[in-house]
Amino acid sequence: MEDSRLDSKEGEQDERVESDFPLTRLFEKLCPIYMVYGMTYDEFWHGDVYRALFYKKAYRERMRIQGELNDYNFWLQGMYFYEAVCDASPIYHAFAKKGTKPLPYPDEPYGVKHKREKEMTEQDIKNGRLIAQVQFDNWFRATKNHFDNIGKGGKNETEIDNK
Amino acid sequence: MNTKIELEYEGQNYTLEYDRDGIRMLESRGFKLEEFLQKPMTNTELVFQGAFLKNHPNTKLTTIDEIFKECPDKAGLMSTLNKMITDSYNSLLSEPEDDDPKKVQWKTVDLTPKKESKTKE
Repeated sequence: MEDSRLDSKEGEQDERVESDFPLTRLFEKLCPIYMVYGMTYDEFWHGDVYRALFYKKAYRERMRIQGELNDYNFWLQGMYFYEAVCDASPIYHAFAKKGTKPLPYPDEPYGVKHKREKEMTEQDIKNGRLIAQVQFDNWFRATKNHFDNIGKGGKNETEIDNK
Repeated sequence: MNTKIELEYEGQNYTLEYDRDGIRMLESRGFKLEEFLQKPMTNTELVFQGAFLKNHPNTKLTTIDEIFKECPDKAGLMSTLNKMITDSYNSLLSEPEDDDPKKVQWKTVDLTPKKESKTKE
């Protein structure tokens, strides 16, 4: 015995399943959309009704951030293309001398190079501070000894200045 | 965030609230939103029963009916249940608050000519 439901056209079966009740129909229509927003089926039907609002807001925020990230990535890729073309440009010159070579392409991504430069700068600052501290301590010790010697009746100031 | 009704009956605490599955069941039992919005005092017992479906689905109908009879201020109760039901679909259709400063703000400007009042001396 043939099942007539199998002969139905696309879309007809969906219309037959659609609820006659307005609120139920609305919920069933919006449920897949909110599942795209990240809500689970159980949360949509059994959770607090106001969660839907936050899921919608979170989805829009996620799309905005994703858009900004994509924009940055596309810009960065453009930078790499630009660098590649510029580095290779010497050999594209029509009257380039024999033996002309392209400029070397960077060994590492821009982010790694920038991070390493930033780390070195911080290390340099720390080293500079240590050196300054040591020099100050030496100067302080020397000055203290000098005035201690004067106080104990050691060499007078004029003899030290002449040296 | 959900609006809830908390009550105590015979030593037991009840929290009444709606979820979308509960409203779907209400509609399958004959609840009609349009009728309820226009005449809030229709289908009152059905609406009240529906509020038990989320947190107390196994509560007997006779118990629910007794609780409903004992509840004071039925008009206020129906008003609250009305709000809870409308929240279930308003939360899907309303737009979240936007903090974007570039959002367009508009206001009406009254450009109707104003008559100057001549004062007689």
